[in-house]
Amino acid sequence: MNRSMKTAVQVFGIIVIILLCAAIMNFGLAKVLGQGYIVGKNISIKQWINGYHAILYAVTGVALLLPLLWYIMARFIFKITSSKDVGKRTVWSVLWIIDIVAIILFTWGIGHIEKGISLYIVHVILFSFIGYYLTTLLFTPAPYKYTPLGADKLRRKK
Amino acid sequence: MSYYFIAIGGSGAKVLESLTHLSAAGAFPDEESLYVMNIDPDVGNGNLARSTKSLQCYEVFQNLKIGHRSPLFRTKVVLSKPFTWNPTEHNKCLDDVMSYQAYKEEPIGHLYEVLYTKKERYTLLNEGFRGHPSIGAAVIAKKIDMGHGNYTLDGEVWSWLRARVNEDVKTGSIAKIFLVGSIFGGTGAAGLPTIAKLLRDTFDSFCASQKVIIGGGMVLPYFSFTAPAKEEVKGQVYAAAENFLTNTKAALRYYSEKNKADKIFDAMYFIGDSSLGQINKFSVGSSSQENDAHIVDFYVALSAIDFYQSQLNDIKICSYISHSKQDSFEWNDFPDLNDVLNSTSVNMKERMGHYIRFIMAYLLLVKPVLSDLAQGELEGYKYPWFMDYLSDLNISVQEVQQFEQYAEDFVRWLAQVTNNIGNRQVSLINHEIIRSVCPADLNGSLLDQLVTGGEEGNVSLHEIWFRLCEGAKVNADTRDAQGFGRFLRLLYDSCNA
Repeated sequence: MNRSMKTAVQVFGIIVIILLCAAIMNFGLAKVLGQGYIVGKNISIKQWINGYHAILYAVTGVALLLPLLWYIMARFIFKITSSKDVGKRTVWSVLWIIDIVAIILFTWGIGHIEKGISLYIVHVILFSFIGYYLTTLLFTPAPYKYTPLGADKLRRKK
Repeated sequence: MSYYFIAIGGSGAKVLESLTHLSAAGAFPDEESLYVMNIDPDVGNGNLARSTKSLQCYEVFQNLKIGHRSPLFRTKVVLSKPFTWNPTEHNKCLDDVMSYQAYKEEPIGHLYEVLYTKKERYTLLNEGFRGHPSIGAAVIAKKIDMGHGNYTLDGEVWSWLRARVNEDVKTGSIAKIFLVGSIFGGTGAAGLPTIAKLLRDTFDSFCASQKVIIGGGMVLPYFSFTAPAKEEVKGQVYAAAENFLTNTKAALRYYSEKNKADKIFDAMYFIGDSSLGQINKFSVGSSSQENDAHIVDFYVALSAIDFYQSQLNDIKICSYISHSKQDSFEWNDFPDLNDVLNSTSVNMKERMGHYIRFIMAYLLLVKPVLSDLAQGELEGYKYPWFMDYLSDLNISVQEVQQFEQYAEDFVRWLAQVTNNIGNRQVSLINHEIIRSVCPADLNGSLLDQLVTGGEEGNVSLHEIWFRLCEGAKVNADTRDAQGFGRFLRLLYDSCNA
């Protein structure tokens, strides 16, 4: 597989994983969680789901943006001109923190629907740990492939 | 086919340095061994020390397991033992060598007194023949004189050579022996025809059946220097640049006549420079005689390769080469290389450019961090190539050190060879990339403009890093690659344009 093909496959992989997370929320988990939030409130689960979609779109957008941003930087923007300016774990970590904070903020700020602590946790796990960490762990371009924490355990050549 | 290279004198040693780098770069036509020996009475001369250092480094890391079918380190270099044949002994002058005391009252002694000045007779020969071929010719002839008009190449190093050549012939192989020296100085001018003649006599029947082919690289003048103040060299014998052209004229006439009457060389290459570069540092010999490498050295080394790669029926008695533009040297001035293994002809720019980039990439990307990484002082995740190829290895310190030393020497040599000569440009590489040498300070951002003469043939440092981190698939050619050699193979392959 040449490098361009590999890039296309990796970008596709990132998008697929995050859309899968969104699909899990949309088609199942949101309903399960939502049942708990509407108890004792004067709304139906359908109304809650409709309101939740705004949160899901925003969170999915953030979850797509940040790993892709890392990928684009690692693949096309960072240029190696010496053996010292390498690694970029700080950039990767900052992007992850931004990812987590943005997901929490969007979950909190968008849509006037009932939310509980479990929704924050589920969003962070799905869209940040899986959406950002797992995708960067699997698909970071070769020059930074061990930058995500623990990547050397997973991707190291034997 | 076996290749033999005999470097004679300081110029021979300088050419040997270029040949070492060419062989490391894979400029030789196949994987045959190159047997190398050196002849110099000035065993401490700086040029020889430099060549020997490069060769010794190469000897160590050519044993690295880099896999198959790569030009890198393809030629196995074998040094003679001892490496240098010294035709004089320590602290001997010409009178001692010629046993003058025994003949001083005889007519031959008187003739000797007429032929040599007192200064020439009393000067110790520890620092060579000091640009006086008349001294060298007498010393070498005396050294190989077995009496009764019989001359032979005797001694450990010559036995070594004879044994190797005999073995080659016995196994049906052809031995190509190439001698190199200057014909305007002392040792080379004296040694080249004498040694070549003796080799031809020694292998007479093999030469007749073309089992042994003898070639010569004659270095013509290409540098000059200002004579030192008289008081500085009072009483000393030394080479004088003003004699170079006269010496050369006489030598050329000698070769022309001698080779017609009594064939010594099957092929001769005459390489010099009409523009004589100025050497600022004058030296009579020893460690201070360390002249910069020169494009002429490189050309002579290429002539050796041309000799080795030529088919027997293509070998010319006398070869000429020129460069297309009078005021510059460019890649397309060099002849193509034959790659017998891959049945192709390889462009010089492609092969050398690849190797230069490989050495520079090592110095830019690997050398600054390797020892810190090995000691755990740098975080490995930043260097995927280290994690994938080197972290689990017990890297031999000697291999790495020798390679790094060699790489530094190579860059110094490259900077010197590509140095502009007077008004003439040597347009082979972008000179701005080498800021300083020993230790090399390179401008990595210019690596994508390293090789001059068109856009093609360059790769950026970033691209090399990317390829290094991607790693390489194991195939039949790399399956046997191991350790540091496996990593160097990856780096070399990553530097391909």
